[in-house]
Amino acid sequence: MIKCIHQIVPHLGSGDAIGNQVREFRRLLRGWGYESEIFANTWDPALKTEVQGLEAYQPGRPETIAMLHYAVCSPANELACAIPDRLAVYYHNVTPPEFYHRYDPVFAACLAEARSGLKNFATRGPAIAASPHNATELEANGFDVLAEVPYILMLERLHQGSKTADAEQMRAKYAAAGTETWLYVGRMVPNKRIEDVILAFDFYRETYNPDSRLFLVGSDSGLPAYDGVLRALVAERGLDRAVTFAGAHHPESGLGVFFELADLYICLSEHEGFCVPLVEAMSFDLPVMAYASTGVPGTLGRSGVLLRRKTPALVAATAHEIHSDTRLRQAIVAGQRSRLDDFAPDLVRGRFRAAIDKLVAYPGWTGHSKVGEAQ
Amino acid sequence: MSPFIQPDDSNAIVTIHAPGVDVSSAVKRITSRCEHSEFSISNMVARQQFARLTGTVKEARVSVEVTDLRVPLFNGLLNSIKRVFHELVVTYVNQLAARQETVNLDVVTALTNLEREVQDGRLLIYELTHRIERLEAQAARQTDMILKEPGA
Repeated sequence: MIKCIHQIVPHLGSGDAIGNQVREFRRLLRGWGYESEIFANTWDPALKTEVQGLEAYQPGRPETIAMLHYAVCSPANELACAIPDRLAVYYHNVTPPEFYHRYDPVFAACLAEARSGLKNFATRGPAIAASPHNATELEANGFDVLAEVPYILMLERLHQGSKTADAEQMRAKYAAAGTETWLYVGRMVPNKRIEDVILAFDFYRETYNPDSRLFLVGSDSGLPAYDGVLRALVAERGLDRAVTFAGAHHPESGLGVFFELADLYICLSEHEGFCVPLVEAMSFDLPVMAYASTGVPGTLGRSGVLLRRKTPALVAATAHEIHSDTRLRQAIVAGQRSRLDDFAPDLVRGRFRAAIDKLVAYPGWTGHSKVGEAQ
Repeated sequence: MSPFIQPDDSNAIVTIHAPGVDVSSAVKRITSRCEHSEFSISNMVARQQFARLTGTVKEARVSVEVTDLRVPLFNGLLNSIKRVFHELVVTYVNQLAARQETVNLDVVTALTNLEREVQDGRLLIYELTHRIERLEAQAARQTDMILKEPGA
């Protein structure tokens, strides 16, 4: 009889997709009668009352399932590997190291370790995937994938956050009537290929609409070298006044304002496990145009605009078509609204409940010890 | 199959999901705007030069223009023979123009790829410049520390 479902996570963040998912999972698990705690290697100070260090994890209880959130190399993975408990993996995906070799070789090595280490957990127990793409990767690594449970998105926080006083100030700061606005939201990291967004935007301004601008919203995530590359590219193209590096913004502090002010959401990323901002953009009725890589097609489903090449000419011509054809734009938005329904929080919570039921009844656990053997 | 997998079996360069709208005309407009989708020279001047080049080659095709001869009796026969010769020449000239157009597109494609390479090189230069600046700053800090050490 399973009584405890604990979560082990490399880092518990207060504003990121993984942190939000872990905390919501815990809330749900407790609501369903399970004992549930979060054990993390590091965490945001604001969350210190919600989390325990990895050293606090007590292994060897037979009525326990440990759920490892897998996204990067971490002592959390080592702990999960070492404990004798039933172990399930929730896979957020791991960025291929090739994207980081030039900018952060140490982190690239960490990612390489995480990608190669994933298969080691396949013999321990089943997995849950955050997206169809993640499920495919898990299966390729030998996992028994029990379910796909996407992120439980708290979009109402994003919308409410755009009505605060801070948000009003931001709106006044960035509002520009008549100016067409492209938007990218996410960390400024190499796999997102933000340089491709800048080049496509430059082409668009020169060819279709000089009165347009690009918002890049997100932190540089400790990669000043890549950030420097992007800023140098913007300067070289003479786009300093058209491209805004807006920095990181949280849902509660007005991130939604950028979605409200934008005319087009653009993503030319070459690696995504899920890509939460696509869904966030949908919730603001913002047309989404994205490069069809990795997890992106699975998240967009039959909605938005998918590009299978991303030459500046093609990206710009497609953006121009979306912008200039009102009927087309409205139909794209209508399709996105329909897709948004698939990510309704209660629907996803139901999928998580079904996944947990399967997990608890899973007959194929291996690697866990009987009581007493572990100690 | 998972309800989250909504297979997109299209291999089109652009897929627009717009329920109730015939998107084929939109896709046609997009593809015609970037007629050669590889034609993505990001430098404006180079792009204009290549647009001119492509246009010039398209205009190189010629049509038959035969001025009637005014010769008594054999006028019709001679004009017919002249037209046949003209058409023969035009056929070969246009074949040449078509080949030149193909060559031209190959040149554009190759240059686009080269431009991408140049762009990648530029990004690498930015990155290395940034790294050098950081290392120089680090070296300067260390030099200061050494100089400030007692006995230095």
